[in-house]
Amino acid sequence: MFKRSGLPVVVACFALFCGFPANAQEFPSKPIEIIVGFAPGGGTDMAARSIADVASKYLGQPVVVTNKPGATGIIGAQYVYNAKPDGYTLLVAGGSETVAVPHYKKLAFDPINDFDPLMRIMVERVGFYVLADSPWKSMNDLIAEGKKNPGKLTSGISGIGGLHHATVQVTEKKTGMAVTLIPYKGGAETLAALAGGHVNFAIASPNEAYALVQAGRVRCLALSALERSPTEPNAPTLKELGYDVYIDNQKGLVLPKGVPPAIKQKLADAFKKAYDDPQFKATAEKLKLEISYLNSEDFHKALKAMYEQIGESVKPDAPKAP
Amino acid sequence: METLNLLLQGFALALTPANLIAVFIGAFIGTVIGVLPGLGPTATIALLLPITIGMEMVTALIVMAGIYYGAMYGGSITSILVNIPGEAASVVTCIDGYKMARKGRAGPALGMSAIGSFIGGTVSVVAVMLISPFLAETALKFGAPEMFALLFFAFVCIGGLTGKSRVQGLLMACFGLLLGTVGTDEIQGVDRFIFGTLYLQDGVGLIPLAMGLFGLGEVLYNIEKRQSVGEVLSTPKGLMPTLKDWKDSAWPIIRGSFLGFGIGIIPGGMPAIASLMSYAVEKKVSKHPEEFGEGTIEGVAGPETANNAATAGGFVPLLTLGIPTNSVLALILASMMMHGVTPGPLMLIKWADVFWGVIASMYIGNIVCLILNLPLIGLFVRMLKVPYSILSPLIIMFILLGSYAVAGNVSDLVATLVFGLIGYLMKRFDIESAPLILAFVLGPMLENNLSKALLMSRTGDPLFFFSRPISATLISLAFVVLAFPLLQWAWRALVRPGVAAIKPR
Repeated sequence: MFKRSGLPVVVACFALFCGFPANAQEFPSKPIEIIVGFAPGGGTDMAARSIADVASKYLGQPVVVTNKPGATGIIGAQYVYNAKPDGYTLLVAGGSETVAVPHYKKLAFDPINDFDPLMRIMVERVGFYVLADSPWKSMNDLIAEGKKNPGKLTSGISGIGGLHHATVQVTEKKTGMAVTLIPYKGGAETLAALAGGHVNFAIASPNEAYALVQAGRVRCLALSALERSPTEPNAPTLKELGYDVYIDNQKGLVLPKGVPPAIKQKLADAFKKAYDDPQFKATAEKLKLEISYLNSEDFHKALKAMYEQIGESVKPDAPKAP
Repeated sequence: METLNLLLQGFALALTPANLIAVFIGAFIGTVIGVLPGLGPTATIALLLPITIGMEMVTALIVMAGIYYGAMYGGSITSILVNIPGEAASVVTCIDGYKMARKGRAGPALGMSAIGSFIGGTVSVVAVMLISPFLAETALKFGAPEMFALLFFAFVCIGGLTGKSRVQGLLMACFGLLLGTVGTDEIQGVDRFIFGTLYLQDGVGLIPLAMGLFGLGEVLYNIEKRQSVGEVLSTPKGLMPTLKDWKDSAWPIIRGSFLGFGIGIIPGGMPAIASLMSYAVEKKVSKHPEEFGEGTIEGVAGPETANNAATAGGFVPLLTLGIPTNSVLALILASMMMHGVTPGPLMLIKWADVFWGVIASMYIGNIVCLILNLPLIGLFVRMLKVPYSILSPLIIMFILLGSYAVAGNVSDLVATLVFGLIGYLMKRFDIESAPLILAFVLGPMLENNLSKALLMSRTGDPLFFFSRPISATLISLAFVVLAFPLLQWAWRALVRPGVAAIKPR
């Protein structure tokens, strides 16, 4: 008697603990985790945190941001690559770790094809900044100087083997200028070096440079974007100036490969709603984050194009990992 | 006068009931997370960020600033009591703080570190208030060559930082330097000693290293000796610092305040570096350097003062230029921007109330931290009376929990265990760990800034360092310190015999 009635309970308990294959109807039945491969406080982190807060409203479960910093975002990416594709683990990707690092280092995974993009949330523009009283009034001045005296100009970049490093290398290739790279730890340190006059120009994102620009300390010469940025409306794009350089630091959500389509759809819908939510838009506006939606397919294409574009310029003389 | 007026307005704002509660909450949370290893102010503030958006701007800033410096107060507690650094900035406190606890002087160590923190914090806030804009400019002039010169100076000071055996101390410093080279080189992007692992690309982590070397090594050693806590930590003799402690700590606290503030305002200067530098300086200037590492109060008071002073100092570049010098300040910047406040020179014009409110709250926050910490000392010290058979597994649990919590990386656990073993062996053979830690932290920074400076010089000419006033001064000073023993020797060899010779018999 006891045995007979006990069995289903045991089975049910077993099922509960082991977890039957994720069911789209019940999804999500536990908190969803967004992995950020960088320390709290940066652009990637802020994008994740601002959307996570709103998305939990539409998913009915908490959406938690977990920072797994290290190796220019690769540690976080590797973690999600190895995660169970059940829709409960997402990665913020599209920047350095996806389109730049693979050109400098051998990775255990293919950052473009081993992930399933969900959507793009924002783009962080990449800008060329100089001191407000710098002798180079325009990007063309800077390029001319870089061509005339190769290697004389110093450029502050945030980290070696990242997107900003790649931006300088692509620009060098497309314009013919040659500069000396000085890598700093993170955007703030790079901008501090520029503000202190220790480098001739610096690569930074407009949201990071915002305070210094407002203070009249530094100015933006150009962006490597496709169109002008609302944060830096006076800065031309390199394309406008006639140079074929296009690099954006894209930030979006990606899933490990193999998430069931129904669950992916559910996530995509919820995060799209969160993206359209006025609360998210207001937060993004205040943080000077340029939100820019792309759906799964277009995001994948955009990442691939960026990856290839950087690869063309970086591959030949890239530092080789032993 | 106007400053005083504005400050009073700031106090009026900070003393409103809501903000007063915010100060208490911030300081309390900060102290708690400072005590808990692994859970640092960065993770805590990141978690609280969404909540702060719903708060008033000033209140939000007060809570976050409170957490930040509360953590510096709390971090020293576990360092002193059980040899686990709660924060990177408290690593150096383990060296002498724990030795003091073992001698039954945990009370004075905790008391002096709280008082030092209070003084360092307050001096720093006064400096932030009075000379912020001017200092921010000077701090920016501190580029790679200046940073290299400063570190070079620090290394020269540490040269004498070897306790019982000079050879052993230097060997340990070399081991520290070697560990510091692990990881991807930050200038060329070349991988060094990473053995094909992803984890080691960023080098060996300071927290796993310190927690293993100090905390775990100590526990393993004590278990081996089957000591009860009564033997490990003799009964506390008095909770409050004695008159002698006060006298011994006065100068380290004064030096620590200014050193910490100075390092805090430099881009890239973190509280952890301030405390290490302070330790090195105190040992150098001390009349009894051989007592460092054996539980001397100067080795606690100086660094603990310096890390708090650096915390407040970090607000200078943030508030006046909008440059956050570390990730905690980056989060505070994000929160300010969410409230529509852009830090920078405009801050004093457009959001003067916020600026002065925060300054005032930092005064109050430092007092609150002191009030929170002093009465608790008795309680903390009593914790050590727990039998070691119960305490040691708890300590091990905290160490492992903490080392995982820092980055959520299992590899950190492995690293902690490996360093625990090394720490145990070092204890077993009575080898000092201070030179190792100092070299490990400062070595890679020295190398990084040297490379950057030489890149900046474009020719790689070492004379470049003498073409810039700050670095020229610091490097010259370092050479003076280096040459000092030689001059001393020369003085004794040449002048003194002469004096003796003409002395009538």
